[in-house]
Amino acid sequence: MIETKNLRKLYTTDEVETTALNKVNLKVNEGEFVAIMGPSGCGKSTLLNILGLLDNPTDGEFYFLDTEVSKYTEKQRAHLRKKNIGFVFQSFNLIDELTVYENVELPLLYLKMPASERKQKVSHVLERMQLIPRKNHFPQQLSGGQQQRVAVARAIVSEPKLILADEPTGNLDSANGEEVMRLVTQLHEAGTTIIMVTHSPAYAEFAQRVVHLFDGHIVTENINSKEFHI
Amino acid sequence: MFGNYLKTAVRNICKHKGHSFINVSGLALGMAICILIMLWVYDELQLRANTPGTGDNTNIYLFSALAFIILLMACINFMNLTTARGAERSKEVGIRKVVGARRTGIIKQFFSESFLLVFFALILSAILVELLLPAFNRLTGKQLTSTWLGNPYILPGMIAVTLVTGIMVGSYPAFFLSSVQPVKVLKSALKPRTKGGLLRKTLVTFQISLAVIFLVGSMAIYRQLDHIKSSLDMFRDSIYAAEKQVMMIFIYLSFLAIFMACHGLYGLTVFVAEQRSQEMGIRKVLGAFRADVWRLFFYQFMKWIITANLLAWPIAYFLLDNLFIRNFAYRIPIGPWPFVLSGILTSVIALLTVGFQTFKAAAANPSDTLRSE
Ligand SMILES: Nc1ncnc2c1ncn2[C@@H]1O[C@H](COP(=O)(O)OP(=O)(O)O)[C@@H](O)[C@H]1O
Ligand SMILES: [Mg+2]
Repeated sequence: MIETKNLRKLYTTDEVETTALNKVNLKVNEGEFVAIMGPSGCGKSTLLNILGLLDNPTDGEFYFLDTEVSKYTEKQRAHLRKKNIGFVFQSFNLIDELTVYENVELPLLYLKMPASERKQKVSHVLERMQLIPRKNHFPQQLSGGQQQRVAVARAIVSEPKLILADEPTGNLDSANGEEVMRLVTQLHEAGTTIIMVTHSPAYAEFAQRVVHLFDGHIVTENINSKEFHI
Repeated sequence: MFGNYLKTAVRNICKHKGHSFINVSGLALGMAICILIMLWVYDELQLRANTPGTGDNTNIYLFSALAFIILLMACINFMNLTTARGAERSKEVGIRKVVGARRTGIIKQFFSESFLLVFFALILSAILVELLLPAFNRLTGKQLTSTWLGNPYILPGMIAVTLVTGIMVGSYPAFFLSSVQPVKVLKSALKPRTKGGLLRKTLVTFQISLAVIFLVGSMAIYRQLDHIKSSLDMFRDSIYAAEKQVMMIFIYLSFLAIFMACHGLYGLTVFVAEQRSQEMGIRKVLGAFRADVWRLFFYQFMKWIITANLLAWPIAYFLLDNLFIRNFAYRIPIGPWPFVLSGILTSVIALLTVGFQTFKAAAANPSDTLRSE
């Protein structure tokens, strides 16, 4: 599903040049669940943003669904993104002026889905996330755990092939963190490809494979023993 | 999709009621003045068509230009206030792009929002035109009406003003915000720093200068009138009437300039408060009190007000000096008072305008402005 070859990302601000990613070679197959770990500032978010077509690499090759996309324009990326990728962030990133229902509906609006189909999909996903009683609330009226559930609902409502999560449990207490992990695992079991950045070794255990980043390059890749035995 | 745009727009307007009100009324005033001048120009043109031989069109060009400049300034103030809170809106744009919005979609959204506000401004400006028309008629010695029957051009005129305004005020926010890159704004909760603002500051300083010039003018002519009244002379009456007319125009222009300057100043305050919020948070962590923070804002705004006054005084002096040469017989020195009073008045009005907003910024908890990932 995803393959990168010698991926590099440089950030140039005024006179300082930061190499956020250096020679990253990563392959993720359809249906896999991969965790990315590493210290702060090692390039995890940068990698996830490039894999999620939010940004272009400086150089290197990037194959998304067997197409080389590293030179795509924002317009081309937006097109691929909305059909294939769902995002979950650490800081939830819901639109404050939209209700729970409207936030979840947004990706479908941009996909120009007919109203009846939209309504059915949103209701279905809200029910699955146990958010029906909250559907007319605004994000600020919800707890952190509930907000992240809305964000997950929004990420999966269009049934994307790939879910990217950047420290989705980072702002949550352990009970809510585990709840989010349970949802992510369910999605994986249903066949969705998942790439998740996390700081928590315990949550990384849920993945089939853990990629360790350090100073912008991959240092080790472990196959989780739990999965190994299956 | 359009419904979604309108929902976000209306909720944003409601969330910042005071802000939206100031923005809409500032724009409405600009539009109203523009419509009034258009009525005058239309009337003059008809008059000239009916009485051949009156060929001089200088005034018509002059007033049309004035109408356009006033509308343009109102639009710029509106845009500055809209984009001052760009950081807040750019997060929304980032999210919309992540879930699939294209640039054109964002552009459409912000144009819809601008046109909604311009539509509110249009309604308000129609009311303002009705209210200002008697005074405007007295000033110009005309009997203008704003009824659609009396003037077949008023409806197309208003539609034209609305379209021009909507396109002017919509374009900058739309293109500015639609270029936002999601990776930049969603990286953390830390607000991106809006750089620069030299153009905003220059523009507001210029607007305060204009207000000072008209204020000095009004006061100087008032003194002049007082002086003429006390002298007995056969030319007195006609000169008195002419001077009074000029004074009335100056007073109206002062009010207009003050309102516009306040609108611009308010937008600038919002911008500066946003721009410096992180710095203020850091200062507070390091031990600054609310009063220290407020003082910093105060110095910054006083600097612009003083600059505006220093720029305006020589220009006002030069203009008035030339104006009074015509009435040499009654000429009295302008004296320092119109300048001093205008300076004090603009300072007070300006500080009242910026006071509340800077007070809020100074009172914010450092944790709100410094929250990162
Ligand atoms: N927009 C940017 N401009 C400049 N430098 C950046 C930018 N984004 C990230 N960086 C730098 O790139 C490196 C990797 O950042 P990031 O991917 O956010 O790390 P992580 O998510 O692992 O904490 C850091 O050194 C960071 O300072
Ligand atoms: Mg990160």
